[in-house]
Amino acid sequence: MLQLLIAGLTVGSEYALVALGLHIVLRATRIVNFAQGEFTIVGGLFALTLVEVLHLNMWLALLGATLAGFALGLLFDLAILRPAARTGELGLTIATIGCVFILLYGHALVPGWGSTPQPLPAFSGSATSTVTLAGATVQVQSLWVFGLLLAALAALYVFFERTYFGKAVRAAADNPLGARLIGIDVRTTRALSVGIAIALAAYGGTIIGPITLVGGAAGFAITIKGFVGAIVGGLESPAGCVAGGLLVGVVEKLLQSRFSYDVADPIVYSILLIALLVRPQGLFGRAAAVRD
Amino acid sequence: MALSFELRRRGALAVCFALVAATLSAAAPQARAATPSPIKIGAVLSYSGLSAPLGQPQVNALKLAEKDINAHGGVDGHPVQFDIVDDGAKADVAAQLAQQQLGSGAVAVMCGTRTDTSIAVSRVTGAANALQFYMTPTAGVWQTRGGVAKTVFQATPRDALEAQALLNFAKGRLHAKSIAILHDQNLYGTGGATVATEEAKPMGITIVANESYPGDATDFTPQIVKIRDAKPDAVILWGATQTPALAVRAARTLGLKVPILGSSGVLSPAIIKVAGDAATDVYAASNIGFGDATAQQKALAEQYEAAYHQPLVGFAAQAWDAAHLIVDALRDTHGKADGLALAAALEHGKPIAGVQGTFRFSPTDHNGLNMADVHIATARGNAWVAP
Repeated sequence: MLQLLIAGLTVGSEYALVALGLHIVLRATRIVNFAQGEFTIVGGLFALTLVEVLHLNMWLALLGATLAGFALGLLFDLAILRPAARTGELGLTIATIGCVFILLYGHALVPGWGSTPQPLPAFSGSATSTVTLAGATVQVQSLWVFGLLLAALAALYVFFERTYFGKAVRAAADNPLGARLIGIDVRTTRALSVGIAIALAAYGGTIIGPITLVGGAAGFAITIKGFVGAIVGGLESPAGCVAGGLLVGVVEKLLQSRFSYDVADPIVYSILLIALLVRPQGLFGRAAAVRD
Repeated sequence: MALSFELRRRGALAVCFALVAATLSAAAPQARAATPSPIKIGAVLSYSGLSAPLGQPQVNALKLAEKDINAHGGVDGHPVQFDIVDDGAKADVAAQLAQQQLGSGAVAVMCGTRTDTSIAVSRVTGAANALQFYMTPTAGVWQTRGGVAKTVFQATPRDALEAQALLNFAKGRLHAKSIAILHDQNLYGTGGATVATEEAKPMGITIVANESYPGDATDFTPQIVKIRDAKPDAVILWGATQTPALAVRAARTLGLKVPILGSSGVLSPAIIKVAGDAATDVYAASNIGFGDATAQQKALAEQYEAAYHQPLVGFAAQAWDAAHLIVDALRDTHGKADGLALAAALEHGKPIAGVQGTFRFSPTDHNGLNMADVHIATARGNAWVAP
């Protein structure tokens, strides 16, 4: 049981970061970025290149992949989101779906990446190093995932709650007109939001890389699981997104231990529908936050 | 506006005519010069996507096989030409490509790298009465519920032979009495699990757990925990590409220490790269020998290494044999494209020596190999070696 809980929290960490990324993009652009999971895959591959080609250690690769993710986010905003915004929210959403396919098939064409998933080295020890906690075997890499998730959350909290820049980003997202009136450059803060969201995706793809593999076609499934987490926890609440993502991971593992995978997955997706019908603001969202 | 549209339409028509004329004039002298005309054989393989580690060596081997066949006179003096196309590991794409190849004059089709693509194409070749050779261990492609698929043949040891060899090894060498099965959810994995369960019963081996995972799984905790709790003497792992490597790593990480016996899909360099030091006590069925390689296998290995600077893998041997078996049948029928006639030539012909073993096809056996043609390898150091 504890074993499954840990496995669930490990995959849940990835969903949580994707859910958080979805939340940030939603706040800034009012749309759901369906390519969020694909950016997770590409981020992990950035780290792979840094490790394999530049022979960096995993910590520098994590930093590099996150920065590269941030740059890619700025580019994503400049080249896709900003031009597509003219077509309205529906057009913008469809543009992100287009990006899913560009990234899914495009990444396989990059030399050294290819279409088959590849391993990333461990943050410490080997991929099979374990410790025993309360009778359960825990991969050391899982502990790194939890630790690095907390570190990212702390950094985001400080940025959005304690810095002038972070507050400006939030203000611009909540009330673009008002923010513009008090002199905030809304376009810059929006680009910054998207950059942070994609940096988070790259960060998530890298920290989970030593446990899973990097690359491959799992990006869209990750987006949807993260989306389920965000809806269950509350798309409007950052804490809700994280909790929802972790919860989806745990529920998924518990279901998989009882049923076969082809039964478990539809149940996870059904939770999305039920959550939307029963509590659309999510477990942690305020009812007032729901727009109609 | 209407006028300019009309002009443009005429312009486009003129360009089309010019192109057709150019193609015809370019093609005609070639056709005259290059007598006898080549015989085209379709090859729909998966060399991009998830199955690229399997399909790429097959493409390599096929290019070598083409040279070898044509150096030995082709078919009645006609050179053989393999038209190799990529289905990206997608069954619907494979079926369309096979249809196109048969429509453009291919006399037979090699497909495919995967079980799902092979099955999709078997419907096309069945409807078109065309010979098909495929290269996965799943016998279910020709051994269908409706009987033997008349024109579909299998160019690698079938899954029942693999299961027998693995279970024999588990019982004889590892003294295992109980087995857990962990398999991919796809057709290849479920087919293998079913066959292994059937083969275990007469051998007196109990199956204590049967778990599955989706092809893109990255976490195996629920399955490994259940298998660990069932306390088997060994695990049979039926899957392909990198995913089984993650399963092996998860097993060793979660304290499941018993020997793991993989299907031939597990036997790839990828598993050693991914599983690393966790790949201990891991065995796999193989269609080529490690340490007990036959003379034919050694000869092909030499040729393959010289051409591609990498060691011969089983997937390459499958494609080499499939190519030669098709050509063997074509020589018997003097290049006739009739699938039933080619099938009859294979079914009633003499035994055909291939790289993987000697194929003895019959109307009820479209695989023609036996258990002696399945070898066992083990992961040691950074390579697959004889156990």
